[in-house]
Amino acid sequence: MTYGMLIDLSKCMGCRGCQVACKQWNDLPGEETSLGTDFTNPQKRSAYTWTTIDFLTAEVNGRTVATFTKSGCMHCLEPACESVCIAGAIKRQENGAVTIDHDKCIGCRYCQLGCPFGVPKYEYDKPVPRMQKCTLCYDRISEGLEPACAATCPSGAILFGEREELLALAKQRIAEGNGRYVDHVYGEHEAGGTAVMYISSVPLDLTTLNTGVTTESVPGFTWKAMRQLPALVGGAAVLSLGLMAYSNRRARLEAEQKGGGEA
Amino acid sequence: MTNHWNDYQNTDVFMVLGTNPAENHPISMRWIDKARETRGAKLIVVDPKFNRTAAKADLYVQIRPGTDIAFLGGLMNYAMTHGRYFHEYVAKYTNASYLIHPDFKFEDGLFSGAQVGEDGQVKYDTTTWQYQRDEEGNVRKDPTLTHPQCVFQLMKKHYARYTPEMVAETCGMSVEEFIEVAELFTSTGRPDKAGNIMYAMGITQSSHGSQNVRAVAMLQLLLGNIGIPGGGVNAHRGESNVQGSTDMAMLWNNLPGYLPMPSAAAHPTLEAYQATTPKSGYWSNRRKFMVSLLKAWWGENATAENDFAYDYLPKLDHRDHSHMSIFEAMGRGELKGLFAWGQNFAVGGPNVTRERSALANLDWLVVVDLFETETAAFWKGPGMNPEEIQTEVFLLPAAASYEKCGTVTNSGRWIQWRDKAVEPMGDAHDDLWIADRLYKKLRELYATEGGAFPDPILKLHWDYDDGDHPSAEKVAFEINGYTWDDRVGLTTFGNLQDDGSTACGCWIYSGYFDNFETPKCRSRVKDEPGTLGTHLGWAWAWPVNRRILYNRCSVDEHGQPWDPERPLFRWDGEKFIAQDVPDFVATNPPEVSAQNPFIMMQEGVGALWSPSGMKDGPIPEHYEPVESPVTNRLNKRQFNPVTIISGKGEFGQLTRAEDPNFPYICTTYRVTEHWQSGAMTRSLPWLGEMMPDMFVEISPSLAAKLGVQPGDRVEVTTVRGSLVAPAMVTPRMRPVRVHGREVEIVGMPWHWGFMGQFTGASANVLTPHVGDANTQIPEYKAFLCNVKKAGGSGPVRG
Amino acid sequence: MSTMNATPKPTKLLRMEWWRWRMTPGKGLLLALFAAAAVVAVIRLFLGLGATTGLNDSMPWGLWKIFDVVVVVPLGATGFVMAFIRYFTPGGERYEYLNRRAVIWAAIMYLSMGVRLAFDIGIPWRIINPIVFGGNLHSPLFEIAWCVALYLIVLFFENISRVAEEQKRPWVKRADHLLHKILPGFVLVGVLLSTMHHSSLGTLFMITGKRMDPLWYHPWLNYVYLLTSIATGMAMMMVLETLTSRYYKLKFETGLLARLAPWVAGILSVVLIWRLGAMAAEGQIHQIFVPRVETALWWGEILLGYVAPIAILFSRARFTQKGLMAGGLLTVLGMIALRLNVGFTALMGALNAQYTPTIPEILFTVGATAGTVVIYTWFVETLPSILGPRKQETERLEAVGD
Repeated sequence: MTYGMLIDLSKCMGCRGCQVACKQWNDLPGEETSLGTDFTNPQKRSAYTWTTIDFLTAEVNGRTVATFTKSGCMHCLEPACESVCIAGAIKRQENGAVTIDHDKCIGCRYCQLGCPFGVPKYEYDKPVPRMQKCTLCYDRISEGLEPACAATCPSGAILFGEREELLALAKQRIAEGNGRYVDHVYGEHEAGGTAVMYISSVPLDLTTLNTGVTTESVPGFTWKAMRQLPALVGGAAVLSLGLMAYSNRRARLEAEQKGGGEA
Repeated sequence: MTNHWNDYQNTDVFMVLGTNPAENHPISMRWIDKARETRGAKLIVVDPKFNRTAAKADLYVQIRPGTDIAFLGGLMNYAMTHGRYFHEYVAKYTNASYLIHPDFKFEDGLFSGAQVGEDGQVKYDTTTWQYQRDEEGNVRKDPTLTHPQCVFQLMKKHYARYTPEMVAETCGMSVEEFIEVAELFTSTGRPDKAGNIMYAMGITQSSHGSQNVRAVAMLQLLLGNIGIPGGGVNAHRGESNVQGSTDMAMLWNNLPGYLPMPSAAAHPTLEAYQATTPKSGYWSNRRKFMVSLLKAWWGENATAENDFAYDYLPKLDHRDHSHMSIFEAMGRGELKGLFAWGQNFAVGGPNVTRERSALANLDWLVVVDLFETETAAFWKGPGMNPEEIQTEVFLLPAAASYEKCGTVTNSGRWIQWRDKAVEPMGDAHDDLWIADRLYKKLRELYATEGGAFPDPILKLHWDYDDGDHPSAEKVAFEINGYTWDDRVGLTTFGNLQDDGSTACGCWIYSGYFDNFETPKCRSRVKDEPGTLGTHLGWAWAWPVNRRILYNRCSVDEHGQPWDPERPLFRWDGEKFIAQDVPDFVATNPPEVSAQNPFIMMQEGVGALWSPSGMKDGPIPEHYEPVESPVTNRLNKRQFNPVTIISGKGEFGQLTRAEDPNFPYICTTYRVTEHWQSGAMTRSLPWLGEMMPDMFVEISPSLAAKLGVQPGDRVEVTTVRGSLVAPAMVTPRMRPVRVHGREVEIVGMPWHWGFMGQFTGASANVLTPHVGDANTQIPEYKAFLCNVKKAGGSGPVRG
Repeated sequence: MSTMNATPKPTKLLRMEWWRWRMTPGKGLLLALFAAAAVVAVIRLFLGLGATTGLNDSMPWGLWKIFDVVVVVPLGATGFVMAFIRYFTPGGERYEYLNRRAVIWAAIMYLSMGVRLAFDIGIPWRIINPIVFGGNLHSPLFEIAWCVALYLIVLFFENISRVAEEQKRPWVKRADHLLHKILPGFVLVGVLLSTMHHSSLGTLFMITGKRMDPLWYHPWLNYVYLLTSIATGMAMMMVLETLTSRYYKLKFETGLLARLAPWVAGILSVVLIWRLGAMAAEGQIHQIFVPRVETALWWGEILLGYVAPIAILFSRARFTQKGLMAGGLLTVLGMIALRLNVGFTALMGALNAQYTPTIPEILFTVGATAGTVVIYTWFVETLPSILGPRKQETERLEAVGD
């Protein structure tokens, strides 16, 4: 069973209760920040800030539009971070949460490069750092609770449940919304499908969602090369052994010729 | 609130006016959204700034700060002239049909009866505002609402000036926008639609704030939106328990339960006080409430013989003792000492530089708070010289909300008990403990040293001990009320007596804590889905667990719900089938209770016209804010003529209309991340990191004009002071077009101060020390300023 | 030529001496840089990556990963390429001494890479944890780790004869003799491991998919990396030989290296055509004319790293030492340019990265690289059998210059 979250951006009002609840449950420190050009703060996610509400205020056709986008781990069905992790520290759990085992992580940071959403964040400021990201509150959901952000969301913008049911709900809301929603469940196909999904009433390019992300399964990008390794090695072996046989034969022939000449 | 949060799910059209629920009352959005989802409800937001609620609105219209009456008057005019009001409701459940004194007039911005003082200050003689009465004293009425002197026709005439064009020019919106709002909101002026107006400090913090609220209520009465599920005049209270503290007489001229505070001169005896009790309406029972209150306070010392210790009760002198008056008096050196109990006026008060200076005139100041607030540290604030300040400051560390038990009353009047979760840190104690110790020490001092009048202290009924800590439950039981002889908890204020046999600390709370084992404020039973969400088993709402006030109005004369889909009550021929506690005598046939749908009102009906409740007019009239960029075009008075301008003292600095030195409108507000003066939130890293710095919001057009990039520092100046903070430049802020002229609006949050972990300039160094004519609430939301580029960029801290 | 046919017995070689290494001003400078790198390493150990490098969440892989691993490994490709030529190609025996230099150079580069990598990863002492405790078979990095670890064992056996040859004890002689018999097997394993990990170093970046700048995006980046590694293996030999022969007054094997030149040029040609073809297939070929900084870097890489060496190494210039040095060096620089461009230029835009390597960070990379050169000289001077017969027999190794 895959759990997930459906984030209905039309309901998010940017109160940032989720941001605080996340820090509270996960015991993350407040960061030193300063005022930005809009209200997003901390202005970037970090090892100490796993989710933020990203504010975007714009003027569209003479009218002001403001959107609030909850950012954070998408909990991919086929996580790139898991596939590239050298140590097997990142694991997609049976319930859909993608988690990091800090005891296994060696700190190669390949997951940071691999994640198409830029999710994992590292404690660069520590001598013994950890890779951090949203765990879908694996500890809570394993005990039958909702993730902290979903539990605290006052407007019901963050829904937690089984992914299939949430996907059906998302499609139902879009279908029954009389055009209120953009006809796109973000996360249904993005990065090959994610457990965290979004629906929105404003065009997605007015949100801070990564609309340019691939819809392919990201682990496949490297796997297509990795799966050819046996053939590559076999080819190299055949080439080497064949050449060696040829070289030996030629050396023998040359030696015989020489020997014959002298004889 | 006449209604309650959960009831928002029953609304068809919301109008958010002078409140910002998404930012300041986030939980409300859950119910607003539910109505939008299940009923296709629409959300209108009318606000000077495109705030987070506006971002969620179906229709957002910008309004110039302080012009709400023009806007609401325009809506009333629109409803009346286009027949978009609820005629049957207006005719039967309001005083629209009442005839008014033939000499009533409105001329040159003044109502009849104006007595203009030497300083231009107006006081009204309300004789001509009164109802016409026949020989028997009954009010003369015209049920057809056509008599030229009836309330409806007077209103129609009065608001005829509020044309869409005039409203648009005054409020800074387009005619089309106004008509779009008017069409949508007056669509609820029919039986099967419910419109909900939410308001907060955007409405009240004005020199005509009380009339703003009146205008909201009148519009709702016209549309038949009061007393019905999904309707209401809904004040979003600014603090989690401010409803509770108001109920407990936080205001200087109240006793608990909104009993008027007696005046020493006018009400020297209980009889004199009793003489002011209304003769009709539920308030005619006021003596029972008062006597029970005195009995609760002075116990066995309150007897019929001594007028129930009425003499012990402090009484008003001739002066005003609201916040601004206190500080003006303090500025004159008339106060010796002050308790700041969970209040941080060194950030929150208007014209705060002067208020901070006034604190220096005190001999002593006691601050009870969680942190060392700006008030506690006023002597080291900007511009203060600690060497010259003799005030002795005591800081008592207080317990936070999770460190103490007790009730919190929400905006919907639900009283909910909370248990203590953790022990207070360090030396901190809960407020009850502090009050208890303070009282006992005072009593000891009065007992040993005597005093001018020790009896009120010595003879107080103070019986809350539970071990070495006072018991919040015992206090709650006293507030609830009990029979004096056998100490049985009262279940309703209907049981209160005026003979000393009952004691009750706050009559409207009677029933919330009638026993110690299962008090109703602890109850947590939800209704089944599919009901109207009154949840009578969840907590307890005053009065008598009623969730929607004036709910007789939800049914017609014959007891049938206006909207069969939302049957709060239905008369089945013999009795009412109810989902709420009736605000009427439900055992009577509906035709009887229909005569008296507003049981608390003297008239028994909704007051479109207020003959004597208001100091500044029986119906609202638009006046400009005291500081306004334009002259008033609706009448010849620039601002509310009854507003007290204390123009002489140091608090009196004001800017005249159209002053070229202060060309911009300035307004203040709050953000989600901080709470009030920031005394608590500016020391919490998780909140501070989200909103670390004070900022000034300006429009892209003003930024371009000033040559300011986002984050550049700007200096905002009013005649009272100035501050420097970085500019937040987004299209959230836009200029308004007022009487053919574009006026920029400058906005800023007022959460910051010089103490705590996250510091910054206090917006209230800019705000004026003037307030509403009726309540003296300061005009924080509309004043004049200038903005200049200050040089440099980034936060200004400290 | 006939004397070269059999494995030459080092008859007139200097013998091993533990401390024959001589300090010179040039080596002194390299050692100073090495020492600075060591200081940076200690600071990094106690204060962490953030305190020493420009790394941040927007740019997880910086100089230490992209240069010290992804570039340093193909610099050590000399080992498997030369061993392959030595043992598997007709007439490979002639490359015996080139191979000796190649495998010791490779061993030093790989070991150096391992040490540098330990400082780049967040928790250095866990560097071998994935191998010891198990890791993730799907991770190209895990595959590289295993290949490199195993290849280091191969390199050990490819190099150990230099020491064993010096020993007189009979069992060592017997063991060395046995080793020589099975050495082609080790070489084969080394070649296969190298094929895997050199291609996988390209696979690493394929996880970014088309987030990568179209100028460098290639659907089979792994093979591009493998091919350029093979070219680098030979090209690096040209560079290494030029420097070693000059420094230690050896005969420069122009003829042997010139034979390799067309192969280098050929591989580069294939890669160049394939890269352009892949861009065309993606419909991105116009990108090479879009005026951007990236485009300039791309043109620099292609002109200097492909076109120029292809021209030189196919031309008659390959029969000159200068020509070989120039062609070899440009090929190596082209390889470095490709890896730096993929690792930085092509990704920084996609990651919206803010990254500037800090001075300590650069110092570490430069110093560590300087250190590898010093270690190479130590091995060469300690084990003169690596160099083979010398131009002028002298009692001591002499440097002719810095």
